[in-house]
Amino acid sequence: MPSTNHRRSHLARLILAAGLACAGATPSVQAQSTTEASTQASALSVLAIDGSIDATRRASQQAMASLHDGAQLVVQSVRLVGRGLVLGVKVVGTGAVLLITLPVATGLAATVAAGTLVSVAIEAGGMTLRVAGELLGFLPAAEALDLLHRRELGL
Amino acid sequence: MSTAALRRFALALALALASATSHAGTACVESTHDADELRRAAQLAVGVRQQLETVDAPVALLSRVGTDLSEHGLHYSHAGFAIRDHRNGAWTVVHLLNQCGTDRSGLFAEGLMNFYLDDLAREDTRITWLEPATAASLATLLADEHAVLSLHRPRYNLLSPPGSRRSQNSTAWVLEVLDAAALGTAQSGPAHTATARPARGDRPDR
Repeated sequence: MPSTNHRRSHLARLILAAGLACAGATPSVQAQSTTEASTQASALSVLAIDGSIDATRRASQQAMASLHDGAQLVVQSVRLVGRGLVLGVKVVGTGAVLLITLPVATGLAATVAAGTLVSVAIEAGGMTLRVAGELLGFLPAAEALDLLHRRELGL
Repeated sequence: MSTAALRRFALALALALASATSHAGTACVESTHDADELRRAAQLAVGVRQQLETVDAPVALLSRVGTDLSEHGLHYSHAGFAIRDHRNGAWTVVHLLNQCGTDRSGLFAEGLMNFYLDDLAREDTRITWLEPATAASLATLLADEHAVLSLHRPRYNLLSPPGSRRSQNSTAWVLEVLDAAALGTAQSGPAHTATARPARGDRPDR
């Protein structure tokens, strides 16, 4: 395991990278500001998963690898950042803490609060996060993210 | 698919999609996708990519159901070309999209997930493989961005038939590209279509 300082520094880079990636992105979540990211990094020693479809890919995939099919997460904190929902969650059993950013294009997001139990399932193309059986979020896997790009010809 | 079969397919596609073009893909970039749309698109894209990898072909025609047209006796509402070796990534889809309901369109190179993120009515898609010679010709044509753009008319019209001099829609562009590939030449478009299609017995779709 990397040291705490290393992990904090790593997290700051992850969130900053996510912010940079999202700044010019099309749909989904808006990025945190660099200041917010730094504050977040100081407060938490966690891995970050950005579930927006424009997320920095390798960083999120690394964090996603810490989850497995059937994992249970307990929400510890909820924060709205732009059009994104940032969940601080703890993995039941391992105690690992994750920071997951999701687009807020679901009514279910409004009902999520500290203590909410989230179930993880691995499916083709990524992971689903469900609350009481209802789909809260989808985290695309690397193989799906590789199929996500757009360019207009002639421009 | 033989050239004759390709022509029959093209004509059938023209007829089938003639009234479906209003439901063709769009290039609106401000939409936000919910978790279920993302999940469905990712699953379909990954599954289609696996299927595409099973055939040794450089290009395939992909159709999707963006809108339920079953009440009109139609099934697929949009089509594009999936290209194995594309500069933007394996199995990039090249297709014509309407610009957010305006009278303009653009040609886009998109990933499979983007292709299936555009308001799917059903998780149903069709991969159409072409005869090797036609596929090779099509791949050569599609690799030439200038040639691809030369077959595009940016003015978008839902009812535009293939070969229209003034306007085009997603289906008409696909058919004109297929037409050019089947003939083994980049020569297509309004002038060519106006003479060649009747000469070989194709009938315009209303």
